[in-house]
Amino acid sequence: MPQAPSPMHYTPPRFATWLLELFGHPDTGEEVQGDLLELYVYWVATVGKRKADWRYSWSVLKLLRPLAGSSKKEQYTPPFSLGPAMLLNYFKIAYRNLLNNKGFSVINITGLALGIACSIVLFLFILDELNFDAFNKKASQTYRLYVHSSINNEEANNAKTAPPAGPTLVQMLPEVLTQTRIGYFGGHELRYKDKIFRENRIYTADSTYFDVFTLPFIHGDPSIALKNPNSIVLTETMARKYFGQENPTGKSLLVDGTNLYQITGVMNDFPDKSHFHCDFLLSMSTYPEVNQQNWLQGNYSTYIVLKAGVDPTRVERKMKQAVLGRLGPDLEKALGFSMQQFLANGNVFEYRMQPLLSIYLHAKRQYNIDPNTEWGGARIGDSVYVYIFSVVALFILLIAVINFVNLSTARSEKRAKEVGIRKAIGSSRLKLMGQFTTESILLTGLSVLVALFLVQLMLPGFNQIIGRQLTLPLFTHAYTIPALLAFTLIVGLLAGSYPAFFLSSFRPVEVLKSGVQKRKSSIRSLLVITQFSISITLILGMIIIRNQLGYLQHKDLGFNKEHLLSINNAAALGDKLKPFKAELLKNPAILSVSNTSLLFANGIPGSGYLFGKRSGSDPVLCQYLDVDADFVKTFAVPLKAGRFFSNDRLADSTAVVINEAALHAFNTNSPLDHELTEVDVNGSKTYRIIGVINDFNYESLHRQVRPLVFHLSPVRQAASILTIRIQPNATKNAINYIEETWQRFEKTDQCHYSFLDERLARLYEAEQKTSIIATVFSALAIFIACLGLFGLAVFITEQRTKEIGIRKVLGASIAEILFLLSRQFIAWVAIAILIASPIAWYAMSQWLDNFAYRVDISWWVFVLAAFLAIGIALLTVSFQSIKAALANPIKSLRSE
Amino acid sequence: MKRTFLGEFEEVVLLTVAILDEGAYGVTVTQEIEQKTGRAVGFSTVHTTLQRLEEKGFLASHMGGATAERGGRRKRFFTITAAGRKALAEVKQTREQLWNALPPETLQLMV
Repeated sequence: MPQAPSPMHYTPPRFATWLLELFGHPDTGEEVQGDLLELYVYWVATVGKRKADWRYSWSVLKLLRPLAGSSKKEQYTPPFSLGPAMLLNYFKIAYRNLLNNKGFSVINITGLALGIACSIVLFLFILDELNFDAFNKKASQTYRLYVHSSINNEEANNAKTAPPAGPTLVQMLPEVLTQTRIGYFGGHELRYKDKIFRENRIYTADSTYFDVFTLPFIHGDPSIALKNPNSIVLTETMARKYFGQENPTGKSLLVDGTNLYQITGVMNDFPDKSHFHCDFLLSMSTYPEVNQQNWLQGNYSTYIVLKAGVDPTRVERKMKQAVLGRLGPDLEKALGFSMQQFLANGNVFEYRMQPLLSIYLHAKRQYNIDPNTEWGGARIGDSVYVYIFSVVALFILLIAVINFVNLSTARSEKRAKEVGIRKAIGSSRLKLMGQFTTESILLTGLSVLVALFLVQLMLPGFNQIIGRQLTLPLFTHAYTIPALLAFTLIVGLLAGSYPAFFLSSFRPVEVLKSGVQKRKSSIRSLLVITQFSISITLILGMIIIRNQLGYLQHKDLGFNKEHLLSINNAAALGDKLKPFKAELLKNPAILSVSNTSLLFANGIPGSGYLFGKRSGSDPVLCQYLDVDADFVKTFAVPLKAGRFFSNDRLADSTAVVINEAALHAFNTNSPLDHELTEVDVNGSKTYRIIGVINDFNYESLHRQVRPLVFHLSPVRQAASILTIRIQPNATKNAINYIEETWQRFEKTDQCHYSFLDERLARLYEAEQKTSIIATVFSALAIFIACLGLFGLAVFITEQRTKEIGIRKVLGASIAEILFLLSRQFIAWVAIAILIASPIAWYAMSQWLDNFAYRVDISWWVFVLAAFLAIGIALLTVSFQSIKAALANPIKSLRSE
Repeated sequence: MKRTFLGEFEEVVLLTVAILDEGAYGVTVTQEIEQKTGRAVGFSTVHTTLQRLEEKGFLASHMGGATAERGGRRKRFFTITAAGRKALAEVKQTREQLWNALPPETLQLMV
């Protein structure tokens, strides 16, 4: 049929049409556009194009309703996407999906659950670390004083303060509410009737102790318990040890067989999360000499409580001034020159404040307080481990979440039809996203439940490693369950948002017609690379930590540490020490015995020393050891110059031997026969240097060897240690003989002996623990990552089944197919290695900086990690790829 | 019952819809008014009036099937409701009463 030139060929002004589409009323958009188009055709036919254009535009202008929103309800109201019916449907679909893909579900849930369990356990640990000392009611107002000194550019911080510091501050500064001092009393023998024990955790404290620290009493009144001289307060455990079920208040303990101390109270055991622990507290008033004004001594830990709302920095400034006035005269007297000159030389010696809440975690790092200056009763944590574990927890969670994302998107093809149909029926993209997110939150919830179960399984072991009593306060703590729910929601959203975004983007027509186009998902590669970067970083960290620990164990310490046995409680022998030693030497299995003060531990004391004549030179901080003449023989430390002490020279009691580090500190080459003066307010003592000993590591390898001075003197009893060198092949014989001899000399106390290398190992306990935890958690992290990789491998091989079949038919060998399937994974891992190496190198260098003696991070570590990672990845993937490569191509090709 | 006021143009549109019966939608109503009354009316005016009448309950609308012309867009067909018919009847009655009340001499002048 011939067609007349139709006005249909004209199009109305585009701009007007566009305006109408954009700003017309949304409710009537369709029919208005249609009506106008129809009228335009009519107008063109009746009044011509120009007029039609004009009328069209004019009508459009009048029909614009730019602010109108769709107010009309549609005839069919779609169900509210979070309404019960829709939710039920989401659940049903999620459940069916779980069952339909059992393999994927298991991988997903196991991975997520493991990740969540790990992060919960680590989180509990971190929370525990962060809450130290918080049980004290005035914790936020309480500060510990410490002495900051910088002498000859040698900086030091010391947590032990002078006895008058606390009381002086309370007196002089109105901002200070109260103070308490704690001093170590040493090991003593305590007796009640027939019960005798040697106790080492006895401390003296001011009567204000319980005003500063919150510790409930079971018996007695805390406000007066430590007021009177010769009062003692003990913990519940100790009360039970000595008195059973009786109430011990009013009874007395006999100390060292001479002094009677009256029990005035029984306190609760110290909370686990207290940086300070002890068994007995003795009233400070027992020792009036505490009150003498000696500002150079440092024996006490002083805690002050500020009034509420006081600015601590202002108090600190005022305190520095106040202390300077008191300290100056003492310092002048000891050094022999004026305080002004001392300070003018660039030296510093001042009191500072450290918040109670930061003692446990930050004493070492931020306040730089050497654990050596804490007493044995103080527990020191390390903020760095809190950071490390937080990062590890996050990483593990991230790996698990990535698994989820990867597997969900990889499986998208299977869900594509569903998405298409839902969209065709009328679901909006937003609703689909809601559905997928619901699904992932559901799966996360399931994983959290499994994780809670896993946490219960993991906690006992973890507690054993770290020496804590962590529990999951599921029902005892009000915040736990809401926190877990929030956690589920966050992880669910995190894991579900990308898949939801991705899946809901499918266009129904394409999807329903031809399925999802296979596309290379760059995001998926990125995620796998991220996962493996994290895993490899953890592997590297693990290897380097182990490396360093091995190095610490095998480093030459400058003395022969083999076949050395030490008796740590030799102080119990008292006066019988010398005969005991002589008795031991009678046995040929025992080569030599040496008696020393504290060694290889925290808390080796130190003092200021002046080298040469007093000339106003600044003092050098040296640690000192009290030893006997057999020290060199027992430890096998070579002498560098001069001689060591000798038993038959009387004059040696005023002689000292120094180590090489001290030699450098004194800045001299010929120290022999020079004088060395120990600075003390109550009359400095002068010694003659008779020898120089080679440097050896008498502390943990975290530190360089520091200046050390040996004194030949009656060993201070509280910490005397017997070190015994035994015949290499006669260990058993020697031990038996030592125990037997001990029993003849000492009845009440057991002989506590240990091999020296074991004691040395204990110096690195924190590192050992970290190493174990790092190993366990990196293994878990790698396992989770491998789960994901396995899932991906299954999926990818499944996708390429046909391709493999065709390749095999065309003559590809099994090796070629294996290579084909693994190539991508190896590429991912290789890139991950490149990313992880510098990160791990940097992080581990930081960690190694904690050690004065450290390994270098050598290239083979990275090679090893690379091989490990590629090996693990290949192993994971190979299971699938070998199966695919071996499969008969007929099977895969027949189904078409 | 509150009586709904029917404007003059509204009355015209309502009547036109009634006249067109099944085929009343924006275009036909516009064209019909133009042809029957000879006055040029804008489509926008007709459209808004139709909307308003629907809001007042005198008209009901439903979407027609997809069309081949006008870009496949559907038409919105309007039908007069019982309330619409009643309103028209009332207007007519009022007019007639008024006409009847006109003195015969004036009536003659007008005709």
